[in-house]
Amino acid sequence: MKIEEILDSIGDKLYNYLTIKLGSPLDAEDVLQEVFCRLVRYRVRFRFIRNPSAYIFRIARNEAISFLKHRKKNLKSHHSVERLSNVIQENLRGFDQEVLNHTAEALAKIPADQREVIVLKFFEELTFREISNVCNVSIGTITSRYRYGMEKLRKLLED
Amino acid sequence: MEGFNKTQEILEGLSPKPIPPGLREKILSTAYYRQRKFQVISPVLRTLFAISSALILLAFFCDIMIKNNENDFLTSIMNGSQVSEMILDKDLQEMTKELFKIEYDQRLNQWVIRHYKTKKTAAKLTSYQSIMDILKE
Repeated sequence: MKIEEILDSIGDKLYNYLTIKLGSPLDAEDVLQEVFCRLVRYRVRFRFIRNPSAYIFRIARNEAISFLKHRKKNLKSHHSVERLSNVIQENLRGFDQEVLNHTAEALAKIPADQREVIVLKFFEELTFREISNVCNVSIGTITSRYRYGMEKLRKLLED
Repeated sequence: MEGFNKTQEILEGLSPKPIPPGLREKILSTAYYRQRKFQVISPVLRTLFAISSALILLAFFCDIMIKNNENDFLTSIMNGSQVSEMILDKDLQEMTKELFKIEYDQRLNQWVIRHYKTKKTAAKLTSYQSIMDILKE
């Protein structure tokens, strides 16, 4: 699989995931570049991967985590609910703008690990098994994060 | 449950926006630039590596062929008896004798060390003859 093909097939989803995870489109661009640089450098290893999509999302997640570690000082400003809510609104599209705004705000309010599972499940269309590979935790943990996250979202959307 | 399904429906109705224009080209150019920068083997080096590998293989096969021809030639000189087998047998016999002798000497040494318990004396024991001398004493 060529690097252009990968970028065309899951580039949008990766960008969206990284933007929500990092809370900044500019940071997401930097990290996405780094992800593809890594893919090009280790393309020999990539040939033996059974599930390329989950593998790339895992690389993206690891890169995002190390990026956040380097930018620890700015972490608070990036993850403020208001800012994150705006970023999510800008990154998603839906039929109803009001519903989108309300959902983005609710998504910004739930804990980061639960939000990550919901974003990967609904917007990036990964299975629970793939999400567990990406996050390097068991499926049980992923499903419980999903359940708690959905419950919190439901309550926030109903308010 | 109804609320859960509704939340699910809302989330399913949302989709990610495409990546901003120009980002695709930027990512690809950076990736290919880094690939060239970190390339361990240059194209010239890769060609040299392929040629030298081919030469090594060729030398290996030539060696086997020359060895076979030599064997055939020697067999024909020695009235059809297999030279390689003869040489192997002889070598093997000598090697076995040597090994047996070494092991025998070592065991004797160990026996003497056990019974005399003096390392000084045992250190002198280097051969079967010296051991026999000490035993006679």
